[in-house]
Amino acid sequence: MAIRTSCQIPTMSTSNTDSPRLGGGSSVSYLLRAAKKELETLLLSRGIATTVDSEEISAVERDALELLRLSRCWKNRPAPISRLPPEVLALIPDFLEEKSREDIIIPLSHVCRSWREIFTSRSSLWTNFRCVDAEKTRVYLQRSKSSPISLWLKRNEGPISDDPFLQIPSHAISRLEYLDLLTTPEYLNKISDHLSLPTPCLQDLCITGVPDFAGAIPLLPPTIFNGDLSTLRLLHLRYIHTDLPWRNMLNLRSFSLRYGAWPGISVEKFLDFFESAPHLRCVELSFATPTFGGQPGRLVSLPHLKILHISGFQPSSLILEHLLVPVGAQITTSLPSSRIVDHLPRSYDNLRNLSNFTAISVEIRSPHVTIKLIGPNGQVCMNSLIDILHSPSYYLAQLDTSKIEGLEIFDSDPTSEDFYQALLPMKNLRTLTFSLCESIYSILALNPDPNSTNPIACPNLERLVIYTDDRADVKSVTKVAAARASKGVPFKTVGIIGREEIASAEAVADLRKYVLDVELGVEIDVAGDGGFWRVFSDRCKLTSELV
Amino acid sequence: MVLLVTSDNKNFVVDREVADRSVFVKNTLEARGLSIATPPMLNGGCFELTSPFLQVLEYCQHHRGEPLPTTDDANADENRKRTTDIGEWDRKFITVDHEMLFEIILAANYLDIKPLLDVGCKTIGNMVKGKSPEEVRKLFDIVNDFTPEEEAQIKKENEWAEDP
Repeated sequence: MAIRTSCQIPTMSTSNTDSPRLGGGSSVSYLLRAAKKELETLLLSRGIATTVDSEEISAVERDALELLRLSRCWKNRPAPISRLPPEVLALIPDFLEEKSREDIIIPLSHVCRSWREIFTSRSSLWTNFRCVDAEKTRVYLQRSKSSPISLWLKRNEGPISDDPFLQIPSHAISRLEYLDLLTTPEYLNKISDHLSLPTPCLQDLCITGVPDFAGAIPLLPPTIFNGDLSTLRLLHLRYIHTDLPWRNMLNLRSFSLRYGAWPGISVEKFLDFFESAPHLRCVELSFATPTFGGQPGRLVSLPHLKILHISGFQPSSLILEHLLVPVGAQITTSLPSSRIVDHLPRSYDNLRNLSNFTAISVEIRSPHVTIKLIGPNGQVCMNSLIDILHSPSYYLAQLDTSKIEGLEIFDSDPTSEDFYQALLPMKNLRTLTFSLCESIYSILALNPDPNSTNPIACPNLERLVIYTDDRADVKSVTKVAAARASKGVPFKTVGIIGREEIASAEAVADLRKYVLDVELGVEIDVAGDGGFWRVFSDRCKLTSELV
Repeated sequence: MVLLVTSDNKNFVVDREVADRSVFVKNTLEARGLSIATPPMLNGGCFELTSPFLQVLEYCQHHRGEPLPTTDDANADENRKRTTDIGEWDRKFITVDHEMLFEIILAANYLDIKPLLDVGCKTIGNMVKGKSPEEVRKLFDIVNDFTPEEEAQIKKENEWAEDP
């Protein structure tokens, strides 16, 4: 509903029943005259009357002060912005980002009396604050009335005297909805009693530990918030020592643990915690993975999981093989060593998004390696943490590629002999793509050697797509296509993509002799945002795909 | 087509789709089964409606057919608010003098055109962002009417604003 009120001039009340009551229709001069009369009466009464009622004097003083305030308010009456109803003005901070709201609400409440009244009376504007000053904390708590509060508490240099957090009364702690705490072990100990109060509306809890001089990180007591974190929707812990003792985490949607204490939480503890949080959508474990595996065969279902990120030096499989990951979930793991198998579960049955991957993408862009295993309903993406590069063949050799139908090689060119060996098991490969590779000598691995009895690599390969800016590559592709056609294993389609159309009409005509279809494409940064679109043109038929 | 009559008795004939951008007009027409809406009188009849109404009509014409925000999705409402981004057309549209800006906001509020009210409030939000109280006063021609006691309290509060 829209707000349909207009700015009203405040009405002044007075204890003296003979005094005029001042309303919105009074003129300023009338108000001033009335006040003058009141004061004269007061002075006369001081001189003539035998007794002076101090209450009455105070009342007149209050009225006079109010009149002064009122007359100042009238000065702002002609300002065009004063025509906006207070309820509309009060909306303005809503349109500022959360971060800048605290920075703007104080200046706005200092502009004039009516603005101060408008902004200080709206409790929701005073619910987010950094807890750094006792008086500020008191005022914010008062102005936020009974609304849930969001608190930023940063103590990375040890406790401060007269700590405002410790002065927050328990009934206000119970209003906590969001707490972002940066703490040293010493400070966490100091506030642990206060932190053990119940918080029935706490939704988001972010705690970042700051190691002390000895390198110890804060230990999160199990009794935090009365040991009941069941209302949490988000729990993010960083540099915090905990064994996740909380259960009944039915509302938890997002959980992250980064840089836990050595030797870390056991797999069983993790699984117990996950079991108590069946609605988790996002899980991130960074350098917090356990060192030993869990009970074999134990499987915890996270049916709502959308994002799972596991990184660190320990094998991701320690956790991964105990989670029943649903269709559509995005899984990212790190690849701290070059052995892929260490980071995947022994079978893919529990990774429903993958369930025996059907395509692989290998991207080697120094110093990073990214391996993607792509399943019918999602993928597992593995990113390297260390700068040890091998050729794509090295990584492919570690995987069971006999059933894959798609392979994409990014940014690297394996030698044709290596690549031939890697391609041999890929009997079902249908599509091979070379993206952003500087050269594609490895394509010769697909070329059946007429003088050899070696089997032909990828006999079912139907579609070959290359990205190239080298006209010589078109000739190489034509040569391979001709050789495969002669052996009865022709390509159906060859796609050639470049920053410009690099295949001449003659070259395309030559290639068409051996393949059913040639797709020519150019990569264009259509939006100018670095996201290239591959635009294919063939017989005036345009298709496009985002790279 | 719908006939809209403003408080200063100016008539505007507009497409129903355009008129329906205003929840107030839409509800009025639906409730009364009429095709004439008279007249959006503001409290106390304190401003002439024709001038901002022309602007409001231009806005409604431009945004006709776009989905209207629903009142039952609190999260969408929050997300809609918590951004200072204004579309290019809207930004040009709302680049007017202060008086007109406030008149448009008043009209949007009265006629219950939430997206336009949002644009107006965002514009004011962007204008005051990063400004000191004195700069805001100067911007909107506001007089500092605080008493010395209040000034003392304010001075203290300013220290919080500078907290790290």
